[in-house]
Amino acid sequence: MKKMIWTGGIILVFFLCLAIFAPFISSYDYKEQNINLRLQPPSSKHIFGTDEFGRDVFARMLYGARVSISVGFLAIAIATLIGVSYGAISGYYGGLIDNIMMRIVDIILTIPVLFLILMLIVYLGPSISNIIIIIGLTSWTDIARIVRAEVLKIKNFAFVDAAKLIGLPKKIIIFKYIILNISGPILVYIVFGISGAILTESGLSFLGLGVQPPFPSWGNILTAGKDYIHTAWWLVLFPGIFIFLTVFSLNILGEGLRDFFNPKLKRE
Amino acid sequence: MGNIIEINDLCVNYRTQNQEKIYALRNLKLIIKKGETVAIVGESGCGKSTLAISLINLLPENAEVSGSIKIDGKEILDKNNKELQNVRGEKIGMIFQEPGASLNPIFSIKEQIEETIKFHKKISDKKILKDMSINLLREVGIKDAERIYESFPHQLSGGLQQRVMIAIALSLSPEILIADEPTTSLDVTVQAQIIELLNKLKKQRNLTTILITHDLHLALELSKRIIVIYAGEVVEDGYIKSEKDAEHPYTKALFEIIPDVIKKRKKFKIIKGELPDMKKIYERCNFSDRCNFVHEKCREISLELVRADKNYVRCLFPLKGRKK
Repeated sequence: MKKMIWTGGIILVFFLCLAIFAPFISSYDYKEQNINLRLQPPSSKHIFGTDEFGRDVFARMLYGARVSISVGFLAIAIATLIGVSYGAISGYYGGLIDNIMMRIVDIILTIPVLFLILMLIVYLGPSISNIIIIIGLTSWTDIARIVRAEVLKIKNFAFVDAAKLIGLPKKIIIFKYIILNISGPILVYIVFGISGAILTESGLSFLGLGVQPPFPSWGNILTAGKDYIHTAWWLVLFPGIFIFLTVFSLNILGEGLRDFFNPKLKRE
Repeated sequence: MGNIIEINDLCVNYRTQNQEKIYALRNLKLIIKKGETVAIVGESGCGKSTLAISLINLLPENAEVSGSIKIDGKEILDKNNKELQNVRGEKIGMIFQEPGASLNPIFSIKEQIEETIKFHKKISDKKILKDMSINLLREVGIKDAERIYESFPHQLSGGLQQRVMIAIALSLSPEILIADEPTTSLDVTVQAQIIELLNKLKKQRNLTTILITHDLHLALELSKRIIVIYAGEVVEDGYIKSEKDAEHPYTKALFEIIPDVIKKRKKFKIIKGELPDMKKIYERCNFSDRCNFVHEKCREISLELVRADKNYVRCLFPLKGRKK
């Protein structure tokens, strides 16, 4: 399980570095077109080749990483914020409040998320901030349920009673005594959530409803490439590999963390 | 001295999932004077812990309460959580069994003690907080207080954890200390130390101490006044030092089952039978099925707590005082 955390972590950090240091890694501009050099195969000058406008694919991939990864992180930050507060309130207060709040979640869960997202984007217009907000607002239900279940378990622990006994206020009890004690499962969800959000964003961009050209994202590089799949394989292969590796690294990191926080597996 | 705790007609019922009622406390009356030490003794399921958590109004949601509990003359059962924050901690400190589970595993001792003081006393100066915490830890007999102050709960032994719990309970200088089975999960030598510590603290701070235990022996160590609870009722209340002072057959039976290591009995003595069905209220003496001195009349009427010889006893035929 430590291997999984390390492998996942290293691949993820590698992609994060690519995104952060994009201008230092590639000297090309992601917007710069050069019709003379269109659809060049990978070479020492353009290591991932060029696209139909002669733009450097490697540079576009690096800047695309910024978009894809930040969409993933920010969307899940929103989802986590909403989900954790919602789940904690529902679980802590229990009774009727819990019942109503969880039925609302059940109702939301019956709506097919992808269609909801598509509809909202068509309505609100596809911009990066809209995509982040919409993915964030549609993916908090899982974490709300996880947090609620954990809170139900933790709130009966003696130390929570002890905190009440000494007269600590609810906000300290909920935050310091309950939420911080379930930070493990929350972290695991965050990691899986980010990989899901990156996939959703790539899917949206692929459908043309995500990040709009000329801004690159892994999804729309892939879309642009699909028209040339028979002649310019590099246009689909590299974004595909990048998406695959990022999601894969997040998934094994998440799985490793899940095992790490599982007390039953700790004896190894 | 005045009364610090007055409990009148306290009834607590728990609703079970199939809508049955468990009558955990039945018309309980109890008066505790300021500075007094009281031990509440009874077997599992008789309502001891329910009584303890009612005193700070922290009963679970499925509990129904009626009656009145006054602390320093103020009713606490109708207060809301915000008002109770000042009673909890500042007026009453409480320690439980299993000190390990009562400490938040992810914070150091330092943070847990200071949190409480910070919130209640609105002190935020780090140096004052540290001095207060270290003094508290020293007061509960922790020698290397500086090191313990920085540690996390799982790094401490059970005895140390319980001392830390006592320190937290005392951090707001409460007038009342409730100890709910404080030594149950500790080994015997540590038990003795904790009881000694409680004895010392109650004298130094003039605490009103309520010890809740199933162990009569332990109760006798700490307290002169013993309150015996059976099936949610007080059956005997008085100053008891030894078996001779027991006036209720149940108290006498409790004395008889204290294991005697010197005489080497072959078998542990037990009280035969078990608690009556707590879902029902009987019109008779609740202990009658297990009593060695039972009389036909015992099964016919329910009883009140009346003075027998020296103690208040809920029995038709007490062992002392009234004639049979």
